[in-house]
Amino acid sequence: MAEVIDTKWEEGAGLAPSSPFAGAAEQRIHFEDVSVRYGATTVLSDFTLTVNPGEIVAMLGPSGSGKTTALRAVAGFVTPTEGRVFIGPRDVTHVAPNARNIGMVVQNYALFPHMSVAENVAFGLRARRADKTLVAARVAECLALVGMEAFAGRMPRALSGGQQQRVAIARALAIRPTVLLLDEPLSALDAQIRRQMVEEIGRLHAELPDLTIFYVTHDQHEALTLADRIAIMRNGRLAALDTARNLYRRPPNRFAAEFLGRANVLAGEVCALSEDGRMAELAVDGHRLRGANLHGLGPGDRALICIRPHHLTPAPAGDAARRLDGRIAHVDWQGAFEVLTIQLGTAELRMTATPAAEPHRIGAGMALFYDPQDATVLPHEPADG
Amino acid sequence: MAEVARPPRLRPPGSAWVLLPLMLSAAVFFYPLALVLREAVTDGTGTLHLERALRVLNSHIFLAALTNTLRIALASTLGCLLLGFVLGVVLTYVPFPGRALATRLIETFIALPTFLITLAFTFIYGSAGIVNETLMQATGVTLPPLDFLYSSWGVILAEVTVYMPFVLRPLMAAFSTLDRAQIEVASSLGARAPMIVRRILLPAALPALLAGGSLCLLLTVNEFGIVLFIGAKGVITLPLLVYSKAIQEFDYPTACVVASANLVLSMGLYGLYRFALNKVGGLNADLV
Ligand SMILES: Nc1ncnc2c1ncn2[C@@H]1O[C@H](COP(=O)(O)OP(=O)(O)OP(=O)(O)O)[C@@H](O)[C@H]1O
Ligand SMILES: [Mg+2]
Repeated sequence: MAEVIDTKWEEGAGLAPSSPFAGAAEQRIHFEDVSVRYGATTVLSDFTLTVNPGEIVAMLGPSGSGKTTALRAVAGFVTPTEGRVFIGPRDVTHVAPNARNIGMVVQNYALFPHMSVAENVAFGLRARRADKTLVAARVAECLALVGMEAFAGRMPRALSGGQQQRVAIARALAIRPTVLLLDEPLSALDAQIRRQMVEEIGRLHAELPDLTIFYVTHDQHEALTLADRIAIMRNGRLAALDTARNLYRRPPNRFAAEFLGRANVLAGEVCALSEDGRMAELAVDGHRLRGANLHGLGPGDRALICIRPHHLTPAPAGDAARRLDGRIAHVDWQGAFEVLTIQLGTAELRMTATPAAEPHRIGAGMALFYDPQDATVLPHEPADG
Repeated sequence: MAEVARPPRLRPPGSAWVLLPLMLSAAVFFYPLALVLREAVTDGTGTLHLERALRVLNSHIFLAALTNTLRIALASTLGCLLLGFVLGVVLTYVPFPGRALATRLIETFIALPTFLITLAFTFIYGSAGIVNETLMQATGVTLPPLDFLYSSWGVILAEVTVYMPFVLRPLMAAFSTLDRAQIEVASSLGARAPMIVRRILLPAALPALLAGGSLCLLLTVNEFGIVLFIGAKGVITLPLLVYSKAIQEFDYPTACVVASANLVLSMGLYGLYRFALNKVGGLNADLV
């Protein structure tokens, strides 16, 4: 085990600061049918996912869906009951955490309170018995990377939350890890600093483009901003995995649609198809709604239609064929925009709109319009099944 | 939370209310102590007379008892710290079946009378104890092969057994507040167990070790029951010397001098203990 670290270290040690993360293929994370069980409860089941070298994959999901468990399986603190975990070509399923060469950043930073900022950052290098000049150079370099060089001598308790998190990131990067694991790294920070840190992590990744990042969060904004791909977890299973754009534009299922960006999902029945079958028309509670038919549903199939709140607009006058007539049920003013809840028969639709000059009247009629290309038709599944 | 606001001190409700308990404790506690001290530094007529006190303090037997006391107390405390730390780390971080039970059992040692454990020791390690009996039967020797019990080693072993929980308890409290993520991060950074113990656990344990250790030192310096029960020849400590002078030889003046010296030593160690406790509080306050 020691040798594995040491060779890896030798590779990393000789590199120029501009491209410190070598061996791109080494830096892949791969879960292969991983299951984790505690007694009778299955926390992760048949989980398969690959995080490609240099990629940021964000893992989203409700509390208790197994996100942390998946991340800890990569770090080595959870041993899969079944399946295997790879880092690069290496099967690390039964490799000790200290032999995995992984950078880990946790929610509460976990800085070592008895060590200065510099000593914290140097810790991993000391564990590898790196020589002094290298340690000094690497500590300075990593602190500069996160903009904390002025704080090298401070003790962790004399730092703000955001500063502590920067140090935690520098500490993880100092060992030139094959992959960087982040478990809700920003959730202990307040909203403003969180936004700033998201930008900084984005900038960091631009500076270290080869760095593979596996990022667990429950903040959609973080995931959408940072991630190349987003994995959505549900009850220990992977519910969806795609680029942020695809997931947002074409959610593969109801859970993904509702969890990411709170889409409107209405249940109905396919009543007509376009000639090429790529568009489907649903009968929903007396209304007819059209959307992209990516799952190849046929007439008579029970289906769902998913429409993003910002794709709904007040209908232009005259276009009677595609307008949906509803009533304003609720208005939620959010400053730059407002969220209107429109009652459409028994269904409700949320739409975002720029605030009207005149306040909306609850109960007033409202005609809606959307471009059917923006809506997605999905196979039927019950809500919250 | 760098600063912990201390609760405001209770204002004395009026001197009369304070005076009564003060006088009461003076009567039952300080007065006898003062008598002992007076006896130590005066002659029969009540005038100051330091010569005898100095003679006692310079005597071979007193110095031997003092060195014995300090040697045994320091060795026992060191033993408590080492054993306590090892057990604390094992009981907190090494999962094994029956861990909770083991912790409970060790903690109940605090409740047991000290002489009881000594008595149990003589049954096990004594010249007619289980271990020696077994060894004698197995090897055929006629003399008990194991006779460390009736030396200072026996006393130290018994004291370590009895007082180790005083180190273990605060230590386990300290470990329970230590964020496990620190240990995990350290390990993912490549640290092995020894480095984690040295760089993470030991610094976190230091205040507890300081407090538990000084309490142990205080208790072992004054330990009487264990030394008496072991009955080791030549192991005379200060409390034992007071006992033999006063009860066996009726030499009260000498006993009082030795007792006073013991008292001064205890008060000094108590000061150390308070200091250590404050340090614990202080450190905790800025770690939170
Ligand atoms: N050691 C354990 N023993 C039993 N159950 C556990 C253990 N660790 C985790 N679990 C359970 O596994 C499930 C998944 O936990 P996990 O921490 O992976 O969730 P999560 O997705 O990270 O949630 P959160 O968003 O709240 O952090 C939870 O229901 C949790 O109770
Ligand atoms: Mg979690």
